[in-house]
Amino acid sequence: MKKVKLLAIMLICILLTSSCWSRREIESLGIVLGMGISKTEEGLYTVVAQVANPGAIVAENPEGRDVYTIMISEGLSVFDALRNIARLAKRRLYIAHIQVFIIDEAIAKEGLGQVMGFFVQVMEIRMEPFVFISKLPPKEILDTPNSLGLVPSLGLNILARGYGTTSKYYVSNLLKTVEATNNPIINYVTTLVEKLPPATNEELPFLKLTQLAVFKDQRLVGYLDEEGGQAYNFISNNFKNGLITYECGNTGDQYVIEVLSSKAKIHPIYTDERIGFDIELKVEGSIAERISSMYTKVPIDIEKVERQLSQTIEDKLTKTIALAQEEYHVDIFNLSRNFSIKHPQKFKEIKDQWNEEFSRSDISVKVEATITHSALNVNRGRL
Amino acid sequence: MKKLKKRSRKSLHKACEGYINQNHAESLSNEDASLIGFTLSLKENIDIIKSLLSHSDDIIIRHFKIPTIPSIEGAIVFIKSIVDLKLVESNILAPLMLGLKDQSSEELGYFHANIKALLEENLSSHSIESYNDAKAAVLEALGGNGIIFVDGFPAGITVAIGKGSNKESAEPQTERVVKGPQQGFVEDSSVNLAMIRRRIKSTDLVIREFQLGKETKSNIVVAYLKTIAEPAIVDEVLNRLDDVGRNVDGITSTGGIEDYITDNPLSLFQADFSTERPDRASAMLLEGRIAIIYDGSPFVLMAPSIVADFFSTSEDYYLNFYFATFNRLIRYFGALVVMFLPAIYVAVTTYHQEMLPTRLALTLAGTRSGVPYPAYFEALFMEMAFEALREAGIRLPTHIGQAVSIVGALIIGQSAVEAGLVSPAVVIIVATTAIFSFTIPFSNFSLGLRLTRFINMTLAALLGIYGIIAGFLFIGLTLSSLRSFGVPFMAPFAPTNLQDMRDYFLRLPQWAIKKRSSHVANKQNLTKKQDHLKPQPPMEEGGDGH
Repeated sequence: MKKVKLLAIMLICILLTSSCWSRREIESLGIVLGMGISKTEEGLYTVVAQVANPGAIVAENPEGRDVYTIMISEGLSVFDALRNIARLAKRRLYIAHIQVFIIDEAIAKEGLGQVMGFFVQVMEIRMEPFVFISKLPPKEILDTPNSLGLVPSLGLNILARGYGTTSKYYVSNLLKTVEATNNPIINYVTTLVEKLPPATNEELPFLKLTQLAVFKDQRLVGYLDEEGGQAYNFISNNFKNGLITYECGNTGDQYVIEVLSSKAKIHPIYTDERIGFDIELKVEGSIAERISSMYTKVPIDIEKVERQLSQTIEDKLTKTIALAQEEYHVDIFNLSRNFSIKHPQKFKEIKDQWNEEFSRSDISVKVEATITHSALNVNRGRL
Repeated sequence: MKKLKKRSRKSLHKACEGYINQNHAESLSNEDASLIGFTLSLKENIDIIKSLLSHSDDIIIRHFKIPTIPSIEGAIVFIKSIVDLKLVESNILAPLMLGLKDQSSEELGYFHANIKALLEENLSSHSIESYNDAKAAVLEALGGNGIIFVDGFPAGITVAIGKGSNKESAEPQTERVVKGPQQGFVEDSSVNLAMIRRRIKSTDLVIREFQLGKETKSNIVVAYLKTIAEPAIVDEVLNRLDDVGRNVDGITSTGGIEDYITDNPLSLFQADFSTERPDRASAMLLEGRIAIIYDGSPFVLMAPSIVADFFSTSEDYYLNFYFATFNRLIRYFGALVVMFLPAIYVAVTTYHQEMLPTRLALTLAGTRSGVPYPAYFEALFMEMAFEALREAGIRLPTHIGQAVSIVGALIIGQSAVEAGLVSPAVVIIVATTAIFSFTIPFSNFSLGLRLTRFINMTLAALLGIYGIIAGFLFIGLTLSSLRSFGVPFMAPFAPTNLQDMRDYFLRLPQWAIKKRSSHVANKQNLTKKQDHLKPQPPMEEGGDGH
């Protein structure tokens, strides 16, 4: 009897520890997969929610447009607009499964802080959805059905996670976005999503991740092209896989190198009141393709390729760093982190004008490329 | 453990091995202090027996005359249904009526006082006993013996003429194996004992026979290896059986014994292990268990039992040990699935949708759209339907039973999904649970597990994952508090014993299992085998030209 009482007390204690109490059947939820935020001319926030239509998703051959519903509403804040959507949705909106956020370029230019406050506070949401910038109104991006019968948000999520095949862009998730908006030192990049016209008349339009959006603190200041995206990924150690193409000056051969792994080491230097960085990049790759010019049927000189590859990557990095320092004046690589670890005292003094200090700093780049295998046949690249 | 101490203190004054032999005399004197003695008169003696047996019609009284000079009047009394009539004719009547013809009883030196010697010398029965007490003699008659009375001799002489079982062995029904012996225990305890004796030809195998039940006088045989079994547990088993035997009117099944001698009379989980296979029983005897054989049931109780017994089969030892280990892990996993899978489904679809991967959440939401009931009732209905189907299938004859299962499972399940009454997901959950419940080899333990899933589902519907954790705690506490004759039921998991897990959780090769479980066997004698038994190829002889 004593044991039973003890057990009962324990069970009751368990009851008290439960902090959320809301029974809701899964089919009664409107599972929001994508959310877009823009602003009207009057200054109201417009929230677009892409709500999954589960009944159509489990159908045998789902039609591209049937699998989701787009709902749109305006409000004084993001949350207010979201609640206004609930007035027209017939189901309870459930935002734990959001895959992507599309933020209108206009808001990004004003500052992301104004829309991120809600996502810091709300408990239901995960921090892993990807954040995209769009020049089009977000509803245009979200309403892009595809022939796979996939909800566009899920498709965008797959695109974002697959950045490693080219490493030409980098998509930040909500956690990084919230971090960057809350910390003025941290700068932020994410990717622009664009809607391409259909390839043929029969096709549907495509979504493409094109340029890297560069933020100074939380405000959009410009874009980097694909080359800049690769350089960013090299320096911030996000480079997974990708192709580097260059033309050999002497022979006119074109080489395509597939980068298999890369590792950047950043050494902050602080001497004589001057801030500097040594960026040491080790790249491993393989020769994926060689476009031989007509008259050079010579074997590949691996060492030469390594030297040329190093030079090519070095040029890319230098160019992008120069762009960041001179045009945007933004430490997009967040080198402040490395500097603050090595010279915490000095960093404290200058952190408020870090971006200016960064723009003035001397950055040297040293690339060491190795070709691990040629990935070519016995002819060693001769045609 | 407390209970064990109490019980053994109560009967501490008894020597554990000695008292069983006096058992029935003792129990008789307990019932009725007054002895009923036999008289000099043949007729009166027969009347005494008849009245003790309530004048039943199957009592046969065969009068005969031993044709010595002078002749001796006699009669044999027996119960027709349980004796071998051929034995009566050939072993009793023929030698008495024909073998002694015209011999002078005085010359042979037989007087009435010495009639037992006459029978012993002339009858080929293997057991001849003289009883002065009518009640004791009647018990013998009920056990299949005949009682011979001789006019003028105030005692009954019992002769063994009992009918042997014609069933030598049976195919084990509940513990089928593909690979392994197909011999199973039968209802006759002496045949069962023979099967064990044949497998363990040890001088240490101790057999104790006694009778349980004031009315049924059921034969119980307790067998154990005296060097391996823990003496305290043996005492405990014998004491409990003795206690039951004195105070219960009748036992008709091994299940009945289980109910009386278990440590956990009210537990949801039945912690007493019984087997139908002599190979399993012998192996467990070698581990230090005690076999309780009930005459009339093909199931032999093994005490003490631990949870691992319910998750192993004899076939494990016929299979490659990697695969056998894998099988065992599946069974343990199956137990978890049976208890928690429907509950997790209910919790995840009604409280914790964020825990699902997005695609799965969409699929579940899609399949459930249009289902009119909450997930809890949906799962509950389907589980109930499944349990009903199983019960129906067991009770019906084999071929109809199968038909019912197929009709139920396929047609009702399919139509329920098509009609939109349940979602396909819940059908899969129920089917998975059912399949895993069949992986647990011993149904008497899995019954308890199957019941817990209804509790867990209800808790999950009320509290979500918290409820499931509460259920998990409840089940864990219940199981850990179970004891079987003082041995913790959850051994070797709680208390943890890595050495024992080699054979109880995993199934390592035989040479790697060198010790018996210290929870079960006699702690002075745990070593099973030597160290060097791991087989290896013979040493190669180098340089001989190959």
